[in-house]
Amino acid sequence: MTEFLRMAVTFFAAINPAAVALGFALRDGAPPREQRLAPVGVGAAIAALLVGLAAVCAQPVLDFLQIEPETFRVAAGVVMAGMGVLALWSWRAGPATLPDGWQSGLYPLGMPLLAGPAGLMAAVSYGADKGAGLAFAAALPALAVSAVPATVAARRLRFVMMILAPLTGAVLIAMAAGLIVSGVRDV
Amino acid sequence: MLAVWGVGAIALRATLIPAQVCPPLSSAGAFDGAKEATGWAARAQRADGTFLYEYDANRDIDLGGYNIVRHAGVVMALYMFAAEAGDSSVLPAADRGLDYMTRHMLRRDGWAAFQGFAGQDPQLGASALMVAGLAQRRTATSDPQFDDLMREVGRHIRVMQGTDGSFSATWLLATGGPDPSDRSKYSTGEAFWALTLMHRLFPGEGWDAPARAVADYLSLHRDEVEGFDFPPWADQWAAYGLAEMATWPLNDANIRYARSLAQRFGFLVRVESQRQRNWWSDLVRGPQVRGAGTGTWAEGLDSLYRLASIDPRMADMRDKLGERAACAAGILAERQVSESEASQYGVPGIAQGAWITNGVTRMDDQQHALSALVRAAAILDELRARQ
Repeated sequence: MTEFLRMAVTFFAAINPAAVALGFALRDGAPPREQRLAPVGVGAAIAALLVGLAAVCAQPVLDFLQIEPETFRVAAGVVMAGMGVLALWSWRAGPATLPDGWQSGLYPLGMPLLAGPAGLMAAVSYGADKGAGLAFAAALPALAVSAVPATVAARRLRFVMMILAPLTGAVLIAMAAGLIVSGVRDV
Repeated sequence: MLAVWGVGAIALRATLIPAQVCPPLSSAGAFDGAKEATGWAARAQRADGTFLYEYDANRDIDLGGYNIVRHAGVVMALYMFAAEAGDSSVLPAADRGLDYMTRHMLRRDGWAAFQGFAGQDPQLGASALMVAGLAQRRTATSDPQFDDLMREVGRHIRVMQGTDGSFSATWLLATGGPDPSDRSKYSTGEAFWALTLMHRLFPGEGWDAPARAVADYLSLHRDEVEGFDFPPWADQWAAYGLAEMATWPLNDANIRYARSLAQRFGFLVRVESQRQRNWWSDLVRGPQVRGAGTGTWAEGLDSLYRLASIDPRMADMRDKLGERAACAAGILAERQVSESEASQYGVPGIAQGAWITNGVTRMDDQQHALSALVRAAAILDELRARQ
């Protein structure tokens, strides 16, 4: 697996499109499909901004915190593994009822569903290790893919998404374990 | 939600990612720290050439005991200081320590071993570090008077080596041979380094073949054969030997091993740099390790930095190794008892220049930290020049 592919898979598992769909489009009180485009657009833009910001600011932030990228990798892996476990347990982030209109794109869709702790930690870690551009590029496919079910998913797909979300969580745990090992086994 | 994220971030900072604190240190500061440690050794030396072994500085109590491997180690570190710093002021103390060793040798069949106490089975590590010390002395003084002694002790080291390159840790007086069941996680690396130094000083005498054999044993088999749970064993002596072999050159298996050692030492120093002297840090990160611990990691990093400066297969690690070595040296310098801090102890002369943990210092704390600091000085110079 190439480094870029590994990063893209990690972002995919961290953002977890199935969990995004369950937490937004397929939840009770979700807006009908024709009213989702605006909040999904806002959410995707907010998430891309936050992930990009995390990647760009990664090194200055780590310098400020006096943390080496190798050490942060371990912490990122631990957070990602924790989020992976939550996905396995079908835990969903977000409020009991969705805000109306585009505001639901800010919260909960933009943050924390699309830009959650796992994705942002991955962005900081990869941004510091591989550069902001590469990290952001690796995150974009996952954000784009996540926007699709968030926009068009129908309730009949709920069962499929409930299977896919924990499976993606398991993938996240595996990628997180790799990140932790890589952080420990580095100079 | 933001409150939850804030609490999570604070918890993360407090547990997983506390700041890595690497106190700044100049090469002059590293030399000064090493010099202070040599001063401790001189003040802690007894008339017979041995050193104060373990000391409770808070209660001013000599805790007794002695370890001849560590005796040889302290003497080696003093000679290393003379060789690396070009400072011969430590030679009288080192020579007194050497004199103790030469008066406690066991000789058989053309070889000699540093035995220590009469009737004691000679330990390989003591002889190996004696050779290493003599090699440092030779480098510092160009004095050849101990060359034959080095060869004698070198022959003992070869007698202790098995066909697979491994070493027995002890020679049994009762059986008149190496104890095949006794391995030491320290002495194999010590013997390895000693053999590489013998080859440097006496090329063409065949010291390289047994050195290569043990290098391969360390690289390929040791961790499994000797049952180390989390390989590689953080063996700074092996790192010294590998660095000494940098121009031979090393084979690919040796390089893989060197890289794994670099990763281990780097990780250990990163973790140590996150430990502070407070109850919370003790709770979540564990207590700070003693001077000997940080010292050995720093020695390993110093050696691997030197290797990475020569062997292109390690070049990608060089900068990080330098940073970690500088960090470890800074930590050591900060934790060394200064002259003013020593005045708070009952016997300031035995506290000054030492590394005291929980009120206690042992002579190998000074040995490893001294070697680490004096060898880090060159790295600190290079890092400063690069900046």
